[in-house]
Amino acid sequence: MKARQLLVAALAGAALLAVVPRGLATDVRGTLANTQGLIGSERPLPPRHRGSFWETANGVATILAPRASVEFDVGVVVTGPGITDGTQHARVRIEGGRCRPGTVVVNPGTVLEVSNDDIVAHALYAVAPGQNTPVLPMELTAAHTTRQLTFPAAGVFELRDERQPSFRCWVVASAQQGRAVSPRTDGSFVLPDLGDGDFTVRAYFEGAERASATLHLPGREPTVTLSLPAPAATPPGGAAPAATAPGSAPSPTPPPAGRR
Amino acid sequence: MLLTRFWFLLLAVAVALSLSAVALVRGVYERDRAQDAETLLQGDRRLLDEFLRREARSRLDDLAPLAQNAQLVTLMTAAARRTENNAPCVERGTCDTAATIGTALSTRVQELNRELGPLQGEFLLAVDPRGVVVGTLGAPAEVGTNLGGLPVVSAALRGYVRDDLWELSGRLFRVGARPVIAQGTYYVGAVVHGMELNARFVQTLAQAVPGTSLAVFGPSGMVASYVSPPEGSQRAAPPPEVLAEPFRRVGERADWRERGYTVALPVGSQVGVAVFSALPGMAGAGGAGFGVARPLPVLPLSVLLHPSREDTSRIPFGLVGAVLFFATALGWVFLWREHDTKRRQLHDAFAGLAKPGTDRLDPLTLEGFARELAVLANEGIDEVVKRELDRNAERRRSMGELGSMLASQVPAGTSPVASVPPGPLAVAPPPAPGVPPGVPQRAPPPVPVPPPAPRSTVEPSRGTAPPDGAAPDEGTHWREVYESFLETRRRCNEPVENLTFEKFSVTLQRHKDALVSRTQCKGVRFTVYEKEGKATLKASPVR
Repeated sequence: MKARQLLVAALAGAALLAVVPRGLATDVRGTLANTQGLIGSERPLPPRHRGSFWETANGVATILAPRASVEFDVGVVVTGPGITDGTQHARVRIEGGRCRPGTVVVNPGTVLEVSNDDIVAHALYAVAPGQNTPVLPMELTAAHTTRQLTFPAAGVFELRDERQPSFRCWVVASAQQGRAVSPRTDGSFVLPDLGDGDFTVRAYFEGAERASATLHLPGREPTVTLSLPAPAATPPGGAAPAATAPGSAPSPTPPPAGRR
Repeated sequence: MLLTRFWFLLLAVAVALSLSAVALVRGVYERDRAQDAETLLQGDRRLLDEFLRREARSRLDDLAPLAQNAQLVTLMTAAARRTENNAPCVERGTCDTAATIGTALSTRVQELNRELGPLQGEFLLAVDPRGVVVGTLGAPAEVGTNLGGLPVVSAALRGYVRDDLWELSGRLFRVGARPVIAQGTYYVGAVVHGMELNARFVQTLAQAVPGTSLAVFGPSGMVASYVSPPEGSQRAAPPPEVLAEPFRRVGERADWRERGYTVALPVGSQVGVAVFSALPGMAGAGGAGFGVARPLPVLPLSVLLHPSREDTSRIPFGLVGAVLFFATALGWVFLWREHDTKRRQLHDAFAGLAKPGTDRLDPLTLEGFARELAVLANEGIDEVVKRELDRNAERRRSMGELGSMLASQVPAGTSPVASVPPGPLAVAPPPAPGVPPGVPQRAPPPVPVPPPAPRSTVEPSRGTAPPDGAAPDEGTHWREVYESFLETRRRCNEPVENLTFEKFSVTLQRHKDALVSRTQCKGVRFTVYEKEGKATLKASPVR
């Protein structure tokens, strides 16, 4: 009896698949691999800047090395047939002192909406990488407000915050705006509503494309994996513990899986 | 006169030097005190910075028991597990729900905040290792908000104990964060504590720098200020409002950009000086800072008008008194020598003879030998005048003879006498012999002669001039009055032996002066008459 029912169900399913029209939107799951070694470069702070009166080790546990946040710092962009997001405004959120995504791709001349969802105001300005001269002037963006930016020419730009000198956020002005998605903490992401065709999925980190993959839909296994390469060089103060409390012993054993 | 003038000049120079010395001392005092004010202000700035630094450390230290609270650690461990990838509880479905953990953590956070006592924060947040708020007290962030990129939260999640300064809705908050460590090994999140930097805190801060005004500025403007009462005789510190405008322009200064603080700057139309310093943290990066001001020092007059007993005890009263006595005595000596000696008085009396209207000395204004010399001088003057009058009379007679000689040469048939106009200056010659009266004669040319004595009912003047500037006709008049007075006294059997003309003239002069000053008349005529058997004088003003 059970075998019969299973057979009927299988046949019905096969028939249903046969009548489904081609071009139905598909959500493609993706994964960012090799994200453990993702370390953000630190921007040298202005010489006068005093971030605090005190920043000392806790005296108990080892200080952790700075690590990038996959969910914030990595931007995933998919381009391909049927994706018309490039004609619309691009969006980036500022949340907890960081951009989500950390790198946003926008067509030159297209408006980039910077939404400050933070609890503090940010005074944002844009510079070319390695430069300090603003290409977009500093303007205060209060908490829970939006500022619109336009980058007329192609290039890579860095958004900085006058009030939070450690803040960094990248804008890639190019014709590959596509559809942006933010990965989750574990590196997984979903590319929603993709039709049939060949798509390109790119992962950006700190204004540069770090990984890319092509995707053909419909496929038998509509998934994509982007493997991020290991960093070429350790940024200053990045890998080693920044400081430890005098007399404090380093962590005797590595933290358990998933623990920091 | 020279000594007295020199003495006055010396006194004036001394006064000028004293005033200059006071002004000089005041200028030196104020300049030195202005330099002191800058030094004081830089000390104030360092003191305030150290105060804020220690206060931040105190807050961070007081957060340690809170971050180690066992219940909090347990709750945050549970919250952290939910966020871990492939967490066993997630796979088994035994993790607490976010709402359950959030409520429990928020309740615990509120309890712990109350236990902080005076360090209770306006907000207290518990964040998981990703930086997501999992327990909250206060408004700035709700459960689920990610704060992991903010420097203080990021540092605390890596294991640092750190402070910061936030501006939230125009208010400044002193923020401190500590990691929450489970089993002394790994991090399960952090606690973020915030206290407002309000007027009460600024008042506490200002007590460390008495005599100043203190203003704290956030990126959006002044958030709190306090003016300490002035110390001692100092002026009040400038109002904090005058610090706002200089603070707005402080970012243009190189010292601010390079060092984070300024030199002493004048504020409020030179009423004071102020030093500005940047605050740390996010708010500091946005332009938050503080300004501390002191009044420009001035030497107050109250120091001179109301000196303290200690100040007055430093004055060398003995020396000052000696100088005062010596200077006064010397001045008096100079005055006496040049103005009050008999010799000087006599000298002045003789010098007065050169003035118009004065022809005699006044013995009554002199004393001792000077009076005697004056009387002798007056008698000498009288004798000279008498001789001069006699010579004049002799000349008149000669002139009269000359007129007669001229008249005798007039041809017959003419009447010169008739042609001589009558007048006091003309001398009427006697008629020529042989010429009958009424026959016109040829008049001789008029010869100027001294005017004859005025008409008098008594004897003509003997030529003695009256003293003290009397006109010649007045002198004659006085002489006639004198003679008449002597005659009347003799007739009344009164003594006349001691009544000299000089004494009599003095009396007449005194009466004349009194009458002239009282009635503003041009002259005075005296009349002698007898009254009740005594000779009496009557003075009548001549208008």
